[in-house]
Amino acid sequence: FPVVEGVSIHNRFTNLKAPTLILNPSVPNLPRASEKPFASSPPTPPTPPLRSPSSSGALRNPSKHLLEKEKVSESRVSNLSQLALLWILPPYCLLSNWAGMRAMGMDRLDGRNANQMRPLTCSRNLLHRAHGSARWSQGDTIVLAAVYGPKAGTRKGDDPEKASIEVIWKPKTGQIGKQEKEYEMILKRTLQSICLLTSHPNTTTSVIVQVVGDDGSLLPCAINASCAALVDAGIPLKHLAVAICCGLSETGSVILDPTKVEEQKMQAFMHLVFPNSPLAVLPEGSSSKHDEPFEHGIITSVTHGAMPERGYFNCLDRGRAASAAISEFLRRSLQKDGS
Amino acid sequence: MATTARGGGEREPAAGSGGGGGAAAEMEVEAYRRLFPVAYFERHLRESVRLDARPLASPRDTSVALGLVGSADGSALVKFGDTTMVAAIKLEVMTPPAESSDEGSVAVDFYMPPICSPTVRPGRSAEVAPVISKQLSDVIMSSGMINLKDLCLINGKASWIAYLDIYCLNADGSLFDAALVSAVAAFTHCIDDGRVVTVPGELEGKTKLPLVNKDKRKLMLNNVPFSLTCGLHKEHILVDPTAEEESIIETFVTVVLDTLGRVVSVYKPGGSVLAYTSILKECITLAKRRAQQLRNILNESVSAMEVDKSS
Repeated sequence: FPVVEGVSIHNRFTNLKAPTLILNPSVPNLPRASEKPFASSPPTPPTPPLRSPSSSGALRNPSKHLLEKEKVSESRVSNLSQLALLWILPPYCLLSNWAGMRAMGMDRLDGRNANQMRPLTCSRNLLHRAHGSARWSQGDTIVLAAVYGPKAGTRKGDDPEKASIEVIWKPKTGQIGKQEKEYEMILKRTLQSICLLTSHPNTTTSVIVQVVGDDGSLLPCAINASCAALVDAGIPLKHLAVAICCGLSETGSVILDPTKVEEQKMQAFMHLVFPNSPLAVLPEGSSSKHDEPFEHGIITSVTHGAMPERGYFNCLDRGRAASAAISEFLRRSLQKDGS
Repeated sequence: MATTARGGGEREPAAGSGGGGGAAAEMEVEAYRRLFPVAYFERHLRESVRLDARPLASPRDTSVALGLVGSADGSALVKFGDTTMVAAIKLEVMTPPAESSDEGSVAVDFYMPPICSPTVRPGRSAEVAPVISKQLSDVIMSSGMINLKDLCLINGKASWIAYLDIYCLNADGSLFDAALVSAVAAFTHCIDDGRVVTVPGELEGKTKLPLVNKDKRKLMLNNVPFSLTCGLHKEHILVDPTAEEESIIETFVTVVLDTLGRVVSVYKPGGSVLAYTSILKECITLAKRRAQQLRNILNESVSAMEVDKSS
């Protein structure tokens, strides 16, 4: 099954102000996903030698961005073989989904297949006044996140022994209503679970999210953008978070990264956030007690629409596989600019 | 119980931990509870009980009373232990919008007045109130509990809009669960009181729908959703947390199931404990049990209501 995915490739000579996105759906030498056994570790080439010890994605010297202010860094995929960001999916999942889709005769409007995501881009350090900023886009859904680093004091009700995170969500149009308050709360609790809250007690970190474009999968895009912005600001994090949106159709087949039109047609769709899979150190504790690796746990799950229980767990599996690919992308994007 | 001050993941002054039995033994239980809440809580968890002596997987006593608000078209009072919610429905006639001319609508609002909790001050509404309000309306719509076409009176000209208002009178944890049960109970009790609808331009006094004039009719509900909130704390799953437990536990999973057994919503907003598949499956099992319990309680109160009416 020719499962190919679209990832943005930035020409390294691109004008920094206007990145060009090239969706390259048919790369001839791209190995097929079904040939990769599920249990193998991600087939990406070894990461380039890290020049600074803090580029594990968690810490970044906050003064660095002052020196690099003029450089707007973009993510790029330089090596075609790295396009093997593959859908490391269990073959049976692929088969049933593909069969389901074919039986329905359903093709997605933009020509993607069920397991394909829209092209991802991530750029950091766009706003010079903010301590950290990032812009994340998935197709037409674009979110800009800015982080203002630890400020003194917490709000009245919050625990002064921990850092607190404040989120402000600005929609593209319209007034702030309940939907925005809900997004703020979900984003705040998700970010609280990835930040090291005890390292800067009695401080407040503000994350401001501005929606630039909304074409489905908005909350995951915002979570990814905020996470990249936190890294850009140098806030200490336990691990990164990758977010994905999955849709479940009436036939039970799962699609990834639905657009707004697709979301309305689906029986149900859900936003899932997983922790970034760790590369180096094996986490103790969690993975020994459950039989599942660390990155299979869910940080956040928000669902819309009723679905059978089996459908929910199918979506979880698909989301996990896709999150492995996004976390690769995120790691590479953060490391490229780290120096 | 408060004699040994264990670490419990919280920094404690030397007086608590070093002296063994000594200094801590003199500290009263209540003081220990306020000063070291996490340690106090975990001490209980080690014995597999909770702060109010419930077993880990058992929810609080639930009671539902229908029809308390006389002026509303449907109302219910629900208590989960100390958490108290009042829901009331008012039906009004509106002109449906063009794109859904044969449907009515439901407007859900959740209020947390200052009476419910010492943390809510007048003038500044609680942060969770709009979030719960949105969650409730999402769940009610996506479960398909109410067929909006039932709320239509005259196609294109008149339909019902049900204003559902839920007031929290006492916030002691599990607010969403209690609010959902109160909303469902209010809808089961909701009676269309047979108002006459006149449409401008038609003959006066007569409506097209004899239904409106005739016996009061009840709203038909299908796929009623029931929810359960579980707190996750370091390998333990605690069902139906109270407010004190909610201040200690950071991670919650709310599972909403309907009568067909479908998962209407799995809501886990962040939290330091990751939810693996095994934990989710267990939460869903607990939710199924709770849904059955709630359904029985609701049916009992509905039949009690009808007995009262007929007698």
